[in-house]
Amino acid sequence: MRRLNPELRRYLWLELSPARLVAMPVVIAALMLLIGAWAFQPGLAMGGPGLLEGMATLGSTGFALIVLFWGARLSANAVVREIAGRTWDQQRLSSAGAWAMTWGKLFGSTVFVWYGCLLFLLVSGVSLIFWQAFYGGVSALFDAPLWAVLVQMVVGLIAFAVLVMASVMLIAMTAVARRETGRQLDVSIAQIVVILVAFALFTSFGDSSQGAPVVWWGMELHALWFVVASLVVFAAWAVVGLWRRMRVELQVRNWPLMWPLFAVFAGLWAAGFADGVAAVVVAAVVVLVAGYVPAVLEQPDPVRLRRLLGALRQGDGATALRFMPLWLVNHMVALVAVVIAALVLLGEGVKGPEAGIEQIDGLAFAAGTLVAFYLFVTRDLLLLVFAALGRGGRRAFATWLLWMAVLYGLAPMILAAVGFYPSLPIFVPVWDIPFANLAIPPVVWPLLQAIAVLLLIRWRWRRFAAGRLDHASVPKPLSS
Amino acid sequence: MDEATPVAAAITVENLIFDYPTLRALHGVSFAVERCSVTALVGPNGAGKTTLLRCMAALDTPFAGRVLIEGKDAHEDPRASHRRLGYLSDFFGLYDELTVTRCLRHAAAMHGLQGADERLAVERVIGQLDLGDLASRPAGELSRGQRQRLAIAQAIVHQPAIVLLDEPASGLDPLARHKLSDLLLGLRDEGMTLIVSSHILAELEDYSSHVLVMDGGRLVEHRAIAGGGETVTLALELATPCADLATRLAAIAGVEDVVAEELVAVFRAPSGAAFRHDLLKTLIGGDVPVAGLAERRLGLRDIYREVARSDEGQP
Repeated sequence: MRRLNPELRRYLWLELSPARLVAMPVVIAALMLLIGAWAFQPGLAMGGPGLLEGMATLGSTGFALIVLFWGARLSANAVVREIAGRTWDQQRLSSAGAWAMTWGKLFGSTVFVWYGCLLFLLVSGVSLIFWQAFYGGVSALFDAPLWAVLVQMVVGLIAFAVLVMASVMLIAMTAVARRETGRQLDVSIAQIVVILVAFALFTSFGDSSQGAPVVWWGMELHALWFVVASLVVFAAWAVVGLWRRMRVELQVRNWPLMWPLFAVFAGLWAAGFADGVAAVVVAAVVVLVAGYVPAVLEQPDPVRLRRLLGALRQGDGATALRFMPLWLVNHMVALVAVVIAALVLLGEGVKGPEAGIEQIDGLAFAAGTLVAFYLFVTRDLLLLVFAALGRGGRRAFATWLLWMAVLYGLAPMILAAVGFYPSLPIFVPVWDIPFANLAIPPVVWPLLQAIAVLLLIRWRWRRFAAGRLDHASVPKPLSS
Repeated sequence: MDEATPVAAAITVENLIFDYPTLRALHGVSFAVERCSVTALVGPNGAGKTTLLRCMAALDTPFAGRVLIEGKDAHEDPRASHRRLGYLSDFFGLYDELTVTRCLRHAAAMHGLQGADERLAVERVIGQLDLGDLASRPAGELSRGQRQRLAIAQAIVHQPAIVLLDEPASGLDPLARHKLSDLLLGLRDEGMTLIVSSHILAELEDYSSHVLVMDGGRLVEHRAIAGGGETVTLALELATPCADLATRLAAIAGVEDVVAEELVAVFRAPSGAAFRHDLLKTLIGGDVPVAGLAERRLGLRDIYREVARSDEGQP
């Protein structure tokens, strides 16, 4: 017999007491009674169909709400609580593998929520079956057979739950890993971010149930199936990301390739909604912007950078790649994507003889702006390195956020307020020619800024290296 | 297996360097730990003891250097090395909501034990650590001494070959410390190799066979504590002062590290009665006013004072 995952077993011991197992269905039954009382009130006179539709909605909405507000919280806290309770090192010292730890924690920490999810799914599924059997409501509303709606609902909701819980656990683990103890603030931020994204996903899930087909890479696809398939794929990526993060925590050697691969996938997925040359630009922009995520979550680590530089000096490519930060690898991949997109834009301008000179200029300007955007992101990432090397290394992110607010918000607003529109490209990538000073190409300003930040990093790196404490002291008296 | 690595060593640390962002915590530390030994890892607060232990346990990755656990690089395959290691952190790392038995079952299962193996391992360690009366109590309700026993039980439930203990006696009363001493000696007798970190020397003296002295992230001494080695420390007592005693002792084959004062000289020499007999014969034959010769058992505090004195440049 295969043994139970030890982490899952620990959570089963802790989470599934008889009292809790009874409490969950009681609460759900109370909610069903409430819906029943509402459906049968005399004024509405909705009767059976209204009741069954209400139950189906209760099931799917209840599922989503407990995933977002409870499951996300529990999964984010799973490792954070271990770190705060000083048990995380014991887990890391075990001989359990990264995959066992990943799924044991992901499903174990939220096992009680999954129990609630299962009950809500049952409520929703049974209601849909009766609604279809007695009133034909499902096929009338969704224009699809019952089995298809049931599969879409079950697979979509489970994928949605896995995506939310795995993402929030991944964000929280990455964020707390750089500190000695877990912080509730990180958990809350992780949960808020994922809730916002998940609401957008869930809304699209609801909208697409009755909407027109989705056009993706020129194919007309059934909207709901497309959303379900996308949820499944993104949930799988989230679990893979969590597994990779777990490997890092368990000191297993990793190559920094998973995030760039995901960024490329996300770029291609998003590009599917765009037409023509815009698709290439969308893909490049998504890959480029994706670099902010690991940079902000992991934040540049001076020790890791020192290892990287040491390996590069020794010409040890394998070690250098192992210590290369994810954002840097992603940024190199983004460079390739941006160059391809810029070349495509320029090529499109040249090969269109029927196009007017204005359009050719416009495409060339767009290519320049894309390169400028890349350089702005380069500057931002370098600024984060610069902040991390400062004395207040732990406050690096807050410092960096302040700089971003000034560079992207305050400074352009001041320029706009005094009417210096042609100077806007100094601070932001500008897409509209009328707002740009074409005498100076838009790439010049971010390039100069990136070089300036690079010089600042060099200066701070030297000071940082020279200022490191060297404990060569004589032994101090011991207590005995 | 690395040919240069002696397989006899339970742990070999080679040129270990560990950096924090603004501090180098370990400066090229190298040593080897004998099997079935109890090594006291001592040094002042901030000496690098915990960092060294965490690197040895493959919890933290060093900037450079390597740690070999029974000949295998701990950082190449940390999960494999953890099967051979037990680690007691200074915070114990217990799940307060779980009972003692469940804490131990969980720890055993996390090391791959299952079914009957898991049950037997838990029963064995409960007996070994005298936890039978506490088996059904939640860990959060235990006293500090009881929690410490449970934490040690967790660390050894999978019968590791090597156990690393970080400040195990911190906060314990004298009776509990005495029991801890007996327990560690028992583990050593079962064939385990132990490294015990502490900045309190008195608790280590009873059971340590070797000492590692750390300071400022550097290893300043690593030696066997008296007894059982090939050389011993001897103290020669004189009836009257002898001006060239140090020179005369140093000239005798086998004698080294001579420290001579007016009426006493301390030095390292081969162990065994035959050497002492020959030594006395030589000295008395050379008219040295010998009043006595005895083996001096150096305690940890003596070794530490000796190290501190030599670091300050005193003879």
